[in-house]
Amino acid sequence: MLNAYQETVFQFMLRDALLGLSIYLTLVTGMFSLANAGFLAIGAYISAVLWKYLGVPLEGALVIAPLACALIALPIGLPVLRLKDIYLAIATIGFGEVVRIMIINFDKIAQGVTGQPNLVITNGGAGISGIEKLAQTWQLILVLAVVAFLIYRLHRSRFGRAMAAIRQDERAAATMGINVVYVKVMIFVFSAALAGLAGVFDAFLARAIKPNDYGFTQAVNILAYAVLGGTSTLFGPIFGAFGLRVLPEALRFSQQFRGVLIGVLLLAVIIYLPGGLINPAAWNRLWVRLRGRRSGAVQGGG
Amino acid sequence: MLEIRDVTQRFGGLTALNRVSLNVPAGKVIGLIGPNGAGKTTLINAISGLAHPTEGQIYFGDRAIQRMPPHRITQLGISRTYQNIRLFGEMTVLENLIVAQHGLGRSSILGSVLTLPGFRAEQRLLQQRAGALLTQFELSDKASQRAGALPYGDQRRLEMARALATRPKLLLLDEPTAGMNPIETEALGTEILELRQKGLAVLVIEHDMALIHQVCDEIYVLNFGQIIAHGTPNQIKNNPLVIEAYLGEEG
Amino acid sequence: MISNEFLQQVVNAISLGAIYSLFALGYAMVFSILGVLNLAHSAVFMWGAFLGLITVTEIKLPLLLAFPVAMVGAGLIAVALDFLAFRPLRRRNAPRISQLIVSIGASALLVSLSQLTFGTDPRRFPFDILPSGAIQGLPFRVTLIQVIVLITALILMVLLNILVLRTRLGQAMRAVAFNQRTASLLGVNVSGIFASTFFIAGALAGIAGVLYGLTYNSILPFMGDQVALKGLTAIVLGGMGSIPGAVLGGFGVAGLERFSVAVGGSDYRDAVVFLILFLMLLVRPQGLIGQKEQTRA
Repeated sequence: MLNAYQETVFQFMLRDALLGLSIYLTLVTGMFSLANAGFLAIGAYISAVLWKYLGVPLEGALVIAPLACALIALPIGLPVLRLKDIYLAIATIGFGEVVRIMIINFDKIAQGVTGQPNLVITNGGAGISGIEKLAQTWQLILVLAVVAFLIYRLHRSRFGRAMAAIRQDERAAATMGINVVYVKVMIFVFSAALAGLAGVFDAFLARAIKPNDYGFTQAVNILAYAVLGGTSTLFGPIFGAFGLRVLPEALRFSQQFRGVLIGVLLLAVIIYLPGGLINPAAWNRLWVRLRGRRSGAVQGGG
Repeated sequence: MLEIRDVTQRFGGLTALNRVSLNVPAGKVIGLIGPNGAGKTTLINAISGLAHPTEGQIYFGDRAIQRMPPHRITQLGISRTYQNIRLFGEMTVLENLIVAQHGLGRSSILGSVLTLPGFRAEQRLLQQRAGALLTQFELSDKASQRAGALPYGDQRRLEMARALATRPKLLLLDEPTAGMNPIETEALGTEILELRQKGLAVLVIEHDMALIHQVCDEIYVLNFGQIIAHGTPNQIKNNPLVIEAYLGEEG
Repeated sequence: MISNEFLQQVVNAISLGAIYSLFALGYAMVFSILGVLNLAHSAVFMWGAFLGLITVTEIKLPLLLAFPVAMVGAGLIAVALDFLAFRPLRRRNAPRISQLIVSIGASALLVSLSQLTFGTDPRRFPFDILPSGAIQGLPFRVTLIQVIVLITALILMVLLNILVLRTRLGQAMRAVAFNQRTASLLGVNVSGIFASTFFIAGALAGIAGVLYGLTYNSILPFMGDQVALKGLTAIVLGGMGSIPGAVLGGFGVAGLERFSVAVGGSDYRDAVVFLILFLMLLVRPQGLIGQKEQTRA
């Protein structure tokens, strides 16, 4: 069996997989959003604050945090999703930064509003510590399995096809009777809720959270899960998340080497394997080509 | 059925359509011709909701649709093809025809994820309709091929089948014969006439005058964003304004 | 009557704005020819700052030489980025998003490499490298560093302007920005233009890094992050690919930042800047002076 350290690594793998699925949903709908780290932060802080000050347990946070993220995503998604590719990327990077700054300054605002000068909620840049490690491995496995199953079902529904249509040609999708705005906003909201869900586990795994854990670097990590695994199937980002957690551990990399690894992988995969590692079509083509070459060689020899 | 009243479309300082009025009665095939850059595709875009006109009204039946989003217009019964084919290239032929029926589906996101009973029945119906279209357009043996990998002629036919999959009352065809040989063009003409027989109204943009004469009940001529002539194919053929517009293009 | 406090913030804003402008110019130049954002630009900026620093502290050369060293070094890093990351994607005609992702990967790589090399604690120029006191006899406080920043930035902007508008290289760059295919048919060496553009953009980021490092006297691997978003806001304000827009945007962002410090305290200055970024993207994504580009689907 796993020792305590290995189990923690495994738990973080599962959390990362949830984040991978969160960005996967938006990517397969043709939205390049980097807002996931921001929603992860919101989910984690809501869980930590509710637990610390109101004693709300993990199970309660699993309901409240995703709902809160969804409610925040709705008014943001409606205007922001009219933007496309790099403009959407900039706007969502900006969103992540605003969330981080808001968390850092939350207490000052709250102090001003309530008139209580000593009120401490998010505790600024230092963050919240002393959270109990309540997250259980079986809970993470269960949640990930349910989420993956629901996404699988979503893919096979008319909305799954609509998502693919929007990614391939948004205007043609609209004239085929697909309500593009509705589908995109709904997927953005689901994606935010999923990141919020990961945030709950994040708070109850990490035991101490601070705003700088959820900055641009985190957004890049989440993107790396999807890029490494690819987005042709929902297993891609799960695999990518697992790989990017396990590989540095196995190689006993320091935090800095982890950054180097992520950078190199992002470059190499996009340049040489644009569909990511889990890409059945590409492997199939490679297989056909290799087999073709071998049978050609046999014929040539005979 | 479709009534366009004084539609003007401006992009910045450019007037692409200038007080265009046009009627497509139920069960008729109407041709829209004119030199390149006359504003034909702009008009189709305005009807299908991709660009809202600056001024004027578009009525479909008794509903004003000039401000509606494209998916609502499609759901009301107007469907279109594109001049430069815009299939969903990564999907199979069959999936293209199923996704086009999106607006006909009733299941909610939650209902379809949880696979409520209504969802399965709906799925079966979509498959059946797609199958019928495959047969009609002789694409059955290619149902599971990637749409993007089809030969050109098949892509054109699939685009038409996909437009019909939305169950339109009015079909907008934007240069459906572009790149086709005369035999394929004539076959398409026959196809259009069959659709009319089933009660469908069609607005077709075309350069091929043989096809126009084969299928159209009436023709509108657009030049520099304005309708310069309207009449039966024979009236249009001898209209000096029309001849001048086309000669002007060649000269 | 203009208060001294206001005048002081104007002086600070101009000095900070000069750095932001230099930095944003690189974003804008690459965007105008490539149509893509180079999010690794802020990492090049950070490396420029470190290169300038080690020129002074390790190699013991005078500060005056730190500027050209940082410019050339950062320029070469940017050219290497183009060569290793962007060029393979251009050859394949990859989508814009792939290029964006590659630039994000390159950024992560450069930041981590700098953490490995320099550690995560802030590094500083020697404190006596420049007199830090205010110049006497003015109604506001202005330091020698601020004067150097402004003069350097103005000289570079004038030079860039001459380069883009008056030289054959500039002409070729504008041709590539307008239409790559046509430019290559006209005999322009497109690959060379990409390399030159990346070099100039990198050099501007490099010197901006040194100036930023001198101003705050704190150089660390993550210093690019904050400037990255300021620079993005600057080019969004100025219109994505516009070179004069980037300059105006840079000063605009610095003005907003200093002004919100004066009004609401330093906690809100970044929030205000990003709020403006958000609103601009939603209301006028083509920038305040830029022409309309298709930003929406």
